[in-house]
Amino acid sequence: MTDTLVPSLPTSGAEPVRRVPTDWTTQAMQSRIRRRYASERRFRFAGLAAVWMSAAFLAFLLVSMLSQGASGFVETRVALPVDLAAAKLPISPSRLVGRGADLALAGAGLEGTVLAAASTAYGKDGANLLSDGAWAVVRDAIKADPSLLQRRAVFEVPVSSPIDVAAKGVGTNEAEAIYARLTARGVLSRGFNTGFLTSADSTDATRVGIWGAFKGSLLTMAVTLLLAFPIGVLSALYLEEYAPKNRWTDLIEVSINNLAAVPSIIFGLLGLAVFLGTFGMPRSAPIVGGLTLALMTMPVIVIAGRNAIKAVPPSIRDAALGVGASPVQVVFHHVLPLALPGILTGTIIGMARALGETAPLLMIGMRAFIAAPPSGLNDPATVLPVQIFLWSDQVSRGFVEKTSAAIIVLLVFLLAMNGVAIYLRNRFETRW
Amino acid sequence: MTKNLKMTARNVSVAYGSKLAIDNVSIDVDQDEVVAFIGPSGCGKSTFLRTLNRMNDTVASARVTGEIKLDGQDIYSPDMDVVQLRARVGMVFQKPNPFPKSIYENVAYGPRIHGLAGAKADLDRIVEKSLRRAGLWDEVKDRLSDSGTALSGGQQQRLCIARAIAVDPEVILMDEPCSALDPIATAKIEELIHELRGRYAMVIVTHNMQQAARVSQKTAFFHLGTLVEYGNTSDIFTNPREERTKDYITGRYG
Amino acid sequence: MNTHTVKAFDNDIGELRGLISQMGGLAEDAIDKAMLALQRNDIALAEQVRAADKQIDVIEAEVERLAVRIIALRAPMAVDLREVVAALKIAGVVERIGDYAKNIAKRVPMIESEHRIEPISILPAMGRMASEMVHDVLDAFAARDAEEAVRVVESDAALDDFYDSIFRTLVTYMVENPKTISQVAHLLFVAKNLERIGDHATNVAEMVYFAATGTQMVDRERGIKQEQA
Repeated sequence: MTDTLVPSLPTSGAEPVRRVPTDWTTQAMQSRIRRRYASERRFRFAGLAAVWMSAAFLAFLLVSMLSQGASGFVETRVALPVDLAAAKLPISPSRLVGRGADLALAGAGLEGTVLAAASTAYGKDGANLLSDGAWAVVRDAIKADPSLLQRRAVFEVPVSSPIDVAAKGVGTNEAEAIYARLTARGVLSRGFNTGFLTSADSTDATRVGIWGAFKGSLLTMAVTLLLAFPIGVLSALYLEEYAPKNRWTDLIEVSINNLAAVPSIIFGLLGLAVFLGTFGMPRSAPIVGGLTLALMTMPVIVIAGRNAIKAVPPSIRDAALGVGASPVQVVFHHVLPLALPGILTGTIIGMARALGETAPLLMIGMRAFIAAPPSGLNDPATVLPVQIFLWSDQVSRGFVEKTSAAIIVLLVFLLAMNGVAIYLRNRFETRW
Repeated sequence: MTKNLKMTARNVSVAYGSKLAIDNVSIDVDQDEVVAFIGPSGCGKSTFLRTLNRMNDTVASARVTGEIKLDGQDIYSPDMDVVQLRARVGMVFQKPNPFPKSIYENVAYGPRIHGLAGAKADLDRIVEKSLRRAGLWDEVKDRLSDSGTALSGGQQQRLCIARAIAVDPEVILMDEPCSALDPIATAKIEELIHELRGRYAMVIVTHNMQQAARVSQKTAFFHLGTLVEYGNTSDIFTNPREERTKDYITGRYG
Repeated sequence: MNTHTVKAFDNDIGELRGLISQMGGLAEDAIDKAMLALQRNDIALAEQVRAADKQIDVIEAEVERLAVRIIALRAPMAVDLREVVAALKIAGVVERIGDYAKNIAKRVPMIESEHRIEPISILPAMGRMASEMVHDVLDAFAARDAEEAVRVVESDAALDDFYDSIFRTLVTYMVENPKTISQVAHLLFVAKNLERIGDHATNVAEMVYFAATGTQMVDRERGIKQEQA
């Protein structure tokens, strides 16, 4: 080939640009690299340490609550022989069935009989050994088996609070002495305190129960959820999907963001003024508590909902509009289902916060001493965190373990709620 | 030009707020033809495409003036129902955007909301027909209940085309349908466009000039919101009349 | 005309044009040298022309390779595409022109030198005309000049007229000098070759016109040519 005639073809037009290669091996470069790796390690260590710290705090909380609270579920009992046949209670067996039984037995002087039996068995101050609720145990036994009235029987009744404290730890000198005496006689026993899970508040630490507060919380949360969730989600949808972007919607957005940051006690004052003052709703009722907490939870749900809706890719909206879906169809067929996991997460956070809230409920009177579980939304009630607050304020030492036990119940409630929400969220996420 | 007109646009201008995005564009779309819109980014070709089925309505600040007619009926007149319009003028988007639902549900969604199928059997038939037309049936017939998002990019885009076909539109608008796809998937979409020609009038926005040359019969070149040149694709790509078109097509733009 | 955004594309096109004009230069040179050899009865020069034709073939192959590469890698459009296609075709035509020059050179030894045949003196003028057409048309290609291409097509008519007159002259000469028939017949072929070179230059002009304007050269130009033919 005649090479002079045909110029050689350039491979890609211009000459590649020459460069001065960077020297990666210099001392400065090496030490810089070492420093970078070192800072990387430091940062990782700091992060790991933070995780361990928080885990340690959590573990400390759980361990101390469990160790203190576990005994709250246990009661100390003493064997009490009662000769009911000898007491000759003026009561006919026919009255022992149905609703009048409690009243009949109380009216017949059962309590006095039980206290007398205690004096007989354990000396003149024997009555002080027993819990205020001891006679109720006897009463319930008689209701279950009326034939007990005709004979002498031994009942396992709860001891009074000071002795219970002595049995579980260190009580007063006096109580410790009695405890030692009773232990020597071998009449003490222990059992699961079912009353704690089934009854309401009481003045006697051995008789208190969490059920009243638990039910109050349940009712309050139900009201909160039923109000806050639909209203919050619909507001979020409207603001994201329909509302024009103008000064008014900006104002609403700012207000909602501010509302979420308002201290909860302000909501309590609002509830007090509006629901109790203006509308004259009953004090201490779950409906008012629910309304107040709904006010507080709604902004959280709106904000979480808006973020979740915003996170739905616009291409999905385009796709639905493109096949001729109307805006409502776009929202309910596509946007909402896709945003729901996010909305649910926000709702869980809001509800969990509401469940643990005390301050606003104090303002609307849910701190009252309520000895019976609420049977409806308008009944006086208290809630778990308020109950814990009230018990922690008690002087009697028997309440210490009950407070911890109540905290355990509250934590279990929270865990259960979160568990359900996470389950729901996963279900929605994996539906496709 | 006037043999079988499907859509006509006359003196259409689109403004976003005070910014004019489309300036006085007039175009005819023939029933049997594929029209390609080409032009540099931001030249307004996608904006114009979206005015053809009023997808710009979702942008609050967009104002459309001029006249766009579908079969002689003004689509911006008050008695044109926008939901029906979008069923008649379907759209396929740049990024494949199947619903995060099953393949079947993706295709069945349109007919369902428009009540095009009475019984389940009807719906099944529409789904199969649409998937067949989109050339996807053989690949997915055994896994119709799988998620549409589990398909490959090209398959997803064909699923989106099937979804658009399912409501039996008259016009299909495609906004850079292949920009996210590999060359083989692109070729399949292009082949599909060939097969669908005649059944639907089609308008395709593309950045790929070779693609415009391959799939279309007419090409419109947009530049800075104006329609610079509109004519037969073979003329535009071999012998454009306008200097700007020539510079853009030969890679001398800018 | 603006430059391409991809600079290498401009380089490729420039190189393609360079090869074409190089080829054209060689073909022009071949015609001139062949005519000179014929005039001077210079066998060595004629041999040189025949050797130079190989170089034209090499460049033609190179043009083909480059054009195919540009089409494959650059996907040329509109004016670029027309230019590359035109270059491809022009290379083939110029190669043919080179072949005609070689053919003329091949006939040099066959025309006896002792007694000069008189008509040989008018052939160089025709050769100059043909080589000028080749020169002009390749200039037109380099400049994308459609007007120049039209002028080349028009000048082909003059060449055809020249050929007609030479044809008559040579036929008359043969009738008058039957002894020289075999030599003059060769001259007839030389004249024919020059006329074909002109036709090929016209073809190139048409390609240049299409490359530059995107339309076929209108029949008006052809009409003039056919009328005069």
